[in-house]
Amino acid sequence: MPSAPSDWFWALAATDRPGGERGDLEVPIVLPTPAATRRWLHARGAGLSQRRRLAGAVIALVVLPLLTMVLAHVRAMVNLPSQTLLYLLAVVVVALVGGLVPAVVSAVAAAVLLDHYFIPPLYDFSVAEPTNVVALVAFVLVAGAASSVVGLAARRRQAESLAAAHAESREQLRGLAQEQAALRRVATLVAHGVPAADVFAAVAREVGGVLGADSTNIVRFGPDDSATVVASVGLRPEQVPVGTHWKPEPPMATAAVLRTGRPARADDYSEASGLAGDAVGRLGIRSGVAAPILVEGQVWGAINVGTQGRRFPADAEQRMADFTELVGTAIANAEGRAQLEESRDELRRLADEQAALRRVATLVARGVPAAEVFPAVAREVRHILGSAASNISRLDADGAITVLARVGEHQAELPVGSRWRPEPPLAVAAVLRTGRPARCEDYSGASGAFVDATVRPMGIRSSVAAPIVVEGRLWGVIVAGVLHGGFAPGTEERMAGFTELVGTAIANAEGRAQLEESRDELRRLAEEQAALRRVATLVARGVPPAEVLSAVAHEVGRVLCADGTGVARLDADGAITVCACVGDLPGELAVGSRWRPEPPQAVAVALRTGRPARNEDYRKDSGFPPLGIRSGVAVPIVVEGRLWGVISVGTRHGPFPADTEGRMSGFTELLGTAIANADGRAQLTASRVRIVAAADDARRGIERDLHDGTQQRLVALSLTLRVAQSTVPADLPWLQAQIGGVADELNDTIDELREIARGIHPAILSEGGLGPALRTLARRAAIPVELDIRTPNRAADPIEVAAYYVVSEALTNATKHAHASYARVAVEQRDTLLDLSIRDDGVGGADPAGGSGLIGLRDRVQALGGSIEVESPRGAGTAIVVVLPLQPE
Amino acid sequence: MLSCLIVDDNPRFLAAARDLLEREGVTVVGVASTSAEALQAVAALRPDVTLLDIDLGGESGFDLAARLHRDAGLTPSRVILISTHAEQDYAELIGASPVVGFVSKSALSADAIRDLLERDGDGECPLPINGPRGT
Repeated sequence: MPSAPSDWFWALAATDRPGGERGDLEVPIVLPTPAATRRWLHARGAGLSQRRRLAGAVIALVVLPLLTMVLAHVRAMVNLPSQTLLYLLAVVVVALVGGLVPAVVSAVAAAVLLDHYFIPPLYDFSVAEPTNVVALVAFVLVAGAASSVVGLAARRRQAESLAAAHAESREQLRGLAQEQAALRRVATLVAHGVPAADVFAAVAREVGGVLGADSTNIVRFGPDDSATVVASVGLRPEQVPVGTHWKPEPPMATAAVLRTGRPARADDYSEASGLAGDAVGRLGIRSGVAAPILVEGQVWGAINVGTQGRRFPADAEQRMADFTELVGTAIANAEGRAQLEESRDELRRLADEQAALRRVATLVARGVPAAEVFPAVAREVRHILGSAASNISRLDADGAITVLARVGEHQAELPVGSRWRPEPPLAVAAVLRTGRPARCEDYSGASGAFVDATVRPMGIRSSVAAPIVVEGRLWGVIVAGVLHGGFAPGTEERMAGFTELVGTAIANAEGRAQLEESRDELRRLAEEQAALRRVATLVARGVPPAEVLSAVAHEVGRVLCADGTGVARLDADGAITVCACVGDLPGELAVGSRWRPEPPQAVAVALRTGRPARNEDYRKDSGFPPLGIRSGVAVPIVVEGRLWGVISVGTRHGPFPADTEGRMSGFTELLGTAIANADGRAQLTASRVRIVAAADDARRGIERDLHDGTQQRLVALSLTLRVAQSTVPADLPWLQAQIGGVADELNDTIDELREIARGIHPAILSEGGLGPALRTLARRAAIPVELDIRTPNRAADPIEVAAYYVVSEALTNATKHAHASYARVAVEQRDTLLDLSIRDDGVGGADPAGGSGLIGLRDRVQALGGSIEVESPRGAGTAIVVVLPLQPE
Repeated sequence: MLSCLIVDDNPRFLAAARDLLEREGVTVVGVASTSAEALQAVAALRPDVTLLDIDLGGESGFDLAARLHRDAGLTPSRVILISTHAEQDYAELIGASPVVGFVSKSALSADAIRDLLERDGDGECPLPINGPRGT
């Protein structure tokens, strides 16, 4: 059995090698040193150990005196041969214990003691009889021989026991080396950071191998003193699969470990019960050892080994401890790494979430329509939560919801735009009821129409829903569902970021829509106001009604987006005359055309009732001219309480908005005003002309009466007086003188009257026209007047009179007020206009508004529809420019 | 004796003028109140001078003067326009008319007529177009 020490030494070194190649971890392996080997060899060659030799000597020192004393006491009963044999026995004993050397010494000492105490002469070292000498020598020789034999035997036996001991220690060393290698392999795994599950499996394998266990498993203790199998090797590991969850109970060693936190063993599992009992029963495990796995001072779990044979060696716990330490380290490492991974995952998740939120926020901030934001949000939520499906729905007023966006595998079940009514236990229903996030962890046991029809076919196991709140009001809901497992805690909070963004997007969109709407409304109002203002400006400027009517038709058509707009006057016979027409309409409605509207035309109804009327759809009614007009609105035009006409709009498309009549009314009021104004103005103008003409006629009549009556009589009187004067006798000179005085006085009166008459009306104007009249004026002026008169024809009396008075008044001003030294008068007939200008070189400063003369001129000129402009800068002369229409309006 | 025809629509003036002129040695061969009468009288009476009122009711003395001149042929009657208006008022029309001159009615006298006729006989321009201001 023993073999050369070098063999197993090298064998050990060989088993060491593979581990050395694999690992980078230094694990001390205890190996015999060369010095120890030498000592062992020496001891083997020198025979018994020093200790045994010393023990032999001690035995000799104790036994020999003791034997001597005993024999001396019983000397009478024991003869010399017996005594010699007893001493021989003692020597053999010494030889058995101490080997040859102490035995030989003891043999000599025994011979001396025998000679001294028992061979006569007693108590003397001499020997009386020669036979006794022979006996002593024989005794020494026999003792020596016996000692030699016994010592040899002892040495042989010791050598055998040493060999056995060496064999055992070699086994131990091999086991130790295997154990070290196993530890190193495990340590390498730990150091490589392989998953804890792999480490557990490797440890279980190694421990099982090292301890020769039939079944090895590693369990993790739960907070409720339960144990979960994390690794299982050995016989039929499927009997105790990984993941098995059980509660350790005595007599299982694991239970003791759990209780004490220290290694424990159980020698008899025959009484074991429960899950573990069944398992050990099926596997035939009879005893086991369990060692705690400590992780950072806490009992994390245990390694269990079981055997079908007898109990494990006593050092099993110790040997398992080395592994449990490694397992502890591995677990601590793994947990640290897991935490690191977890925090890294958490960071990545957070970053993803932030990026997703940022993307959505960018969309929201860019004002992308909410309809585009919804799918983006659904996508992001699905991505962030890792859900199978996600959708966004709007809560309608009736409590149903409308799907606005969805992503994931529910194409057929919930199309966008579909409406449905969530019922418990759906998470959505809970959100709608509470206004708070909700979840349903497991739909597998749920029931309900929607669950049966949609949730289960989709394979959704659990879902989370979060409310979308817009300006404090529950607007809708985002929901995400997964097919397996559930959502992590905090999912609701993570969804909240998105729901807030969605809420903002919706609020923005609504605000924007309202803004757009009000902006449109404002723009519409502004356009309408501008149109009304333009018309009002025309009205105020007093442009002819025909122009106002046309402008109103244009503006109304534009403001109301009508295809056709018309303004018609109601004639006395009940027909209407088209006054203005805008749009793409056939010739029957051209300006000037007359026709008789009949119901159901809106125009006819409006004229009949005097109120706005509309026809939503002419297609229903036959008989209307085929204008392609589908619907129309007509509003009456009332002028000073009298129905004057109607304005109507038509469109080929849908009916006009409800406020159309109201909007048209603003224009019809303006039209009424314009027409009334125009009428009034025409009347006013006519009356002004009439007044001026009447005044002129009156003056002309006065002048004529003066001329034909008073003046003639006075002249006749004057002539008669002169005759009378000539008939007075020469001897009555005083009478002659008196009559002459009266005649002179009378002539002066005639002259005065003539001046007055001329002031009332210039006779020359009637007689000779404007040219001669103006030339007369010029001749009579106090300052030189340059005349430039180009009037080939006589103008109407009012025109000539006005022109005459303008020049007359201007020359009077130039002389009286402007102190001019020169004036220039130009009159030119130009087509239908008479241009008149009077310029002087006076002091200027005439006030066009002031001065009764100028105002009178202005009234006269304007009454004729003409214009007058007075430029009179101070110190730069005065220019009066008048334009008179030759044909009055 | 200077024969004279007076054309005026005012009978009161006709009477006064006739009376005055007769006394001053002018033979008033006739009077007329209308253009038609005047034309007949001139043709029949052949007066040396015709005193013609500018305002003949509705008719114009200037028109009548022109007709007298045109109808009378080579030896027209010499015409003196008369009026209650100032001469200056009608200066332009008077100048354009085939007449000897103008005498204001209130200044009518045989001397005034003779002066005008003599001045006309001298071939002088009877009146400046733009004469000095006066009645």
